[in-house]
Amino acid sequence: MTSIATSSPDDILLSDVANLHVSPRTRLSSTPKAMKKPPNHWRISDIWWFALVATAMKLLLIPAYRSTDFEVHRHWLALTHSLPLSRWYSDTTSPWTLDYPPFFAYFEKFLSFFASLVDPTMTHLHKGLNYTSPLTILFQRLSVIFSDVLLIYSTRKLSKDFKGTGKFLMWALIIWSPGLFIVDHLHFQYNGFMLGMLLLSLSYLEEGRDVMGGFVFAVLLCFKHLFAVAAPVYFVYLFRHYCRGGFVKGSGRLVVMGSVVLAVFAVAYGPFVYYGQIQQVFRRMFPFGRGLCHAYWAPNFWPPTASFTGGLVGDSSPFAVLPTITPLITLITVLLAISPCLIKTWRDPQPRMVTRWVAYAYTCGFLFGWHVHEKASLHFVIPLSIIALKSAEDAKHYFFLSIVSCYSLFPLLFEAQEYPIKVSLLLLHAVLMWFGFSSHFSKSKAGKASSSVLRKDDKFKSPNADGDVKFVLGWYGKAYLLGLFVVEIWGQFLHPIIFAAPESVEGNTNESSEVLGIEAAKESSEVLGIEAAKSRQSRPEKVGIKEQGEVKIPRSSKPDKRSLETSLKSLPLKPSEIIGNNKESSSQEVTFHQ
Amino acid sequence: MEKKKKKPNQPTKSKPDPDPDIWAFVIGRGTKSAFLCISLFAVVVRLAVAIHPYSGAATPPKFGDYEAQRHWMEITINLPVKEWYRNSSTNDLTYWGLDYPPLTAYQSYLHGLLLKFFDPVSVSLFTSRGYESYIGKLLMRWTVLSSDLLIFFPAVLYFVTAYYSKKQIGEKSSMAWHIAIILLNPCLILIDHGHFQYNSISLGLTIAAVAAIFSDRDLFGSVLFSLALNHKQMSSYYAPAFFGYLLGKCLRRRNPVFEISKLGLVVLGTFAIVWSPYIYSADASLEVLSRLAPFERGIYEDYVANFWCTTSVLMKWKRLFTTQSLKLLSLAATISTFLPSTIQLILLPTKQSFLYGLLNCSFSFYLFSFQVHEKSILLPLLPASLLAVEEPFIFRWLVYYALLSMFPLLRRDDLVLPYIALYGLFVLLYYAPGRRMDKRETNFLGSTLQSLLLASSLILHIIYMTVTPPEKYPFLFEAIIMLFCFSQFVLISVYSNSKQWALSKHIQVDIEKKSL
Repeated sequence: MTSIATSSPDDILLSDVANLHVSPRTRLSSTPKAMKKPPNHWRISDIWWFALVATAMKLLLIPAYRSTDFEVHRHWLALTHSLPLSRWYSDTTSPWTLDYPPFFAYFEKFLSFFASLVDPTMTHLHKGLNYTSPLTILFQRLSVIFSDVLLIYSTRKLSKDFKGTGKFLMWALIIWSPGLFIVDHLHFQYNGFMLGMLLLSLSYLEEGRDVMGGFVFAVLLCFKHLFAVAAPVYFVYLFRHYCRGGFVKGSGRLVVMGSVVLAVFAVAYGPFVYYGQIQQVFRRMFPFGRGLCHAYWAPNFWPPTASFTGGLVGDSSPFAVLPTITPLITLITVLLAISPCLIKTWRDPQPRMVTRWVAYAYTCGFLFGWHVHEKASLHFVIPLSIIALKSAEDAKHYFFLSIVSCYSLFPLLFEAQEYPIKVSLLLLHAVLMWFGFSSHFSKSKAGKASSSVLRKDDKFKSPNADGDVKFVLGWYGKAYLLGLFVVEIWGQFLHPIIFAAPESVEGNTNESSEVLGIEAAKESSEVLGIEAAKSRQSRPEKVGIKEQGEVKIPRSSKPDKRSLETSLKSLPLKPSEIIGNNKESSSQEVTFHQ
Repeated sequence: MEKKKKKPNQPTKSKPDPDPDIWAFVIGRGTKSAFLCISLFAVVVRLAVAIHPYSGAATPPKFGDYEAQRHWMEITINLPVKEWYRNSSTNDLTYWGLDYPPLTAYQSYLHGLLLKFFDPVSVSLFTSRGYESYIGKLLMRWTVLSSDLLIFFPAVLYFVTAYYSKKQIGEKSSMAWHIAIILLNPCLILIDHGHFQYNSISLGLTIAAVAAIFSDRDLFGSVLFSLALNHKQMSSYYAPAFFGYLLGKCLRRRNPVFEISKLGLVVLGTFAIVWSPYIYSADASLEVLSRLAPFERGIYEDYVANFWCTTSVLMKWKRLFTTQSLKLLSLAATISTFLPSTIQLILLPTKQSFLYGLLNCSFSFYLFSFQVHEKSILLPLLPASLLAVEEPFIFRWLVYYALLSMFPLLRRDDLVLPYIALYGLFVLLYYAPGRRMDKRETNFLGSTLQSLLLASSLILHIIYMTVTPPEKYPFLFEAIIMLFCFSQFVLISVYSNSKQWALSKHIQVDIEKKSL
């Protein structure tokens, strides 16, 4: 209809805008596309639209609250920049010692080249401690945003087989995941690109390119060893799927795969072996002294158990009645939990099932693992988003799981400023999922019905098929979500108002918080009971945990302590963090033990 | 790479909406769910912008608009109503004296109560001047957000349902896009949630008034518009359009005098209620009125891209004329520029041309009236956003230059990052995948010229950020930005004026055809 000339200004505007604003991603990806496409249909289509919308949000969040992990990663930049490799794992300038595997250290080293150009103080080992110039914040936040390109790339790779709405929905689930926003772009970590690597590896496996899949997974393990939980599944799967076809061929392939993985590990750990640092590296990577439960307890198996036995979290034995839980016990429990899936993998290694198995393994690791971070729930929620669109049943489970997982991340952001942000992020996610799933599955149902007009008898033969297609929440599910909602309202608003001593402005904070702790435990166990009775389909212990245990109320040194505290009475008051993680010395804290 | 494009796949099906566009699954469940989804996103964006600094953060002694709003809360909750606009020992009008109509004062009072409940220090008389704290900022930000949620968002929903109620299903596909474009207008978000103001209240009331008029509830519409006028006197930019449209409509009724007097009574009644504390004597009302028209502040402030400021490069208006004659001059210029559009509305009051009329009248006020702020560009922007489906190109163009015209202001507020992010977001939404491209979206300006303008304005951004201006002309770059924006605004307003008149020709042709 219209000539090329009429549409070109749009192209120019957009590419200009992209160049001006967000990232080179646009420059790399969209601009050439604009050239290829027919005139007047120019639009930022494809996954990049989703990615750029997310990027705009991430940019807006740059000045938001950031946890001590920000300083951790800044220190690692300085560490890798100013020290020789042989001292990376033995340095103790800051309490935030390097405890990620070597590839992550190399990654920090890579970033530190740019960092030192941007602001040399940032990468100075001593001057840089707790350094937060605007440029430093900008640089570090942007480094997370840029590294997410890998996540976007692998999501796109995985979504090849999906069409239309399903594709959009999947992108929205992964790229707009509220969990990633909270952990990576507010709390500050680099989970996005490592999850991207996991998805990349899974996509290779699904395509049948096992060597690449194994290779990427090995690389991932050298970035963050917490991903190793799925290693048994990988091992069994690759052994059965890749190394088959007779003894000779099979063992040949085993050698190929083995050497690929070994080569990756050699590149990662070789230098440290050379400098005789390898023991120190492992000591740092597996700090068994850090306790069974991490930070604000991840909603997994151990904390409720610990709290029932009246224990604490920390170095001392938390379990009074039950035997002490050692890493070995948790390892065995995890393996036991994974074993059904391993057996299935062994019997019938199918590429299309591998994502599910890996996600299952991470779930087990999360539930029974040693020193689990609450952030580890992302390890299974993100891969599960790929599965979620396969059937309505999966979608339903995913719906709950992702909401609960995101909710469990809430304590990471405990300041009032971020409270509405995290809540509305979760709400948006839930609403998008709800509309998306219900329209997606009703559509595919309609599609099936129209395409199979001839096979009318289908309907009569299998009434279940109909039920499968719809995306419906049972009243179980509704009650569970309602329970979450009630707990949140109670914990945030009603509880502080009802149980806070009314006139306590200065002195009574201790008391009121103590009341809070005790009452929270009571209340949570009550809720726990009710919830457990109500819904057996997901882990009930998720509900109440937040309020149990030791509560730390940060009293940051804000100028108007008084007004802050009075307002705390009715504003979102979050029992924030727990000792294990928090080595922060600058802010005074009041700690309570049950 | 691109083989999986949804374009070639879909159109084979004969569904009403073959594009599996991004809006498909939000719109699939009706207007309200689409609105819920988009408004949640808009809330997240607003919250994220609210993290950034506000105007005048940590810059004593005068601070900025944030301090002005906080000061009004302080005044309104501590002094009796009659004292609010009166200079006294307790109310120093030279320090951010209240200069908006009473509805703003009431709104400040309500918000002040809220602040007093949570953070009494922040609104105590005298001692709270220049009060800034983490909690104080949050509470203030939340008052803006809540007034946005209570007024602007419902108004947009009302408008969208009214606007699309008479359209066919096919045309509804752009509804979600339209909602998103209105709610995520970068300028409004930056000024309200970044810079700190409550424009969303008066603009929301205006949208609601437009929506009421679209659903033929003229009386309700005039009440709402009177409220908007009583929140910010700047809403009078729209008054000629409302006046023209409603007058034209009444004239076509069976009993025009009755209809007109009905409307007049409703408007007067609304005003009487809002002004009730001040109408006991003429002096008191005049006192308030004199606060609302700060003629002493000169014909323009800072560098605003309107006629007076731009031409002052060549002609020093402030030196050549007295304030009195400038007042008359600007009044004459404003009236003569909005008159054509008002006359068109009186002659042919259609809903379509009403929207154009709003745009034209507000533009003529922005360009020619007395004492215009750069923030006033929000007013022409609003009808442009309501027209976005019909004139997407104009809207995009206007948003870009409106943002540019506010760039010096936003830069002063340290809001460059949200400026970039929000404009990026706007462009992304504008080009959201699967949106039906309007055929009318053609540019009538040479494409080369347009891209040249864009490129140079981009360079201007960068220069403004990095280069210090020569000492002789400290405001050189501001002046260039102003010239740039002024030229574009004039072009847009000329275009939309001609469009409004062209519209009436079309309609007349239609009527003639029908009569044949």
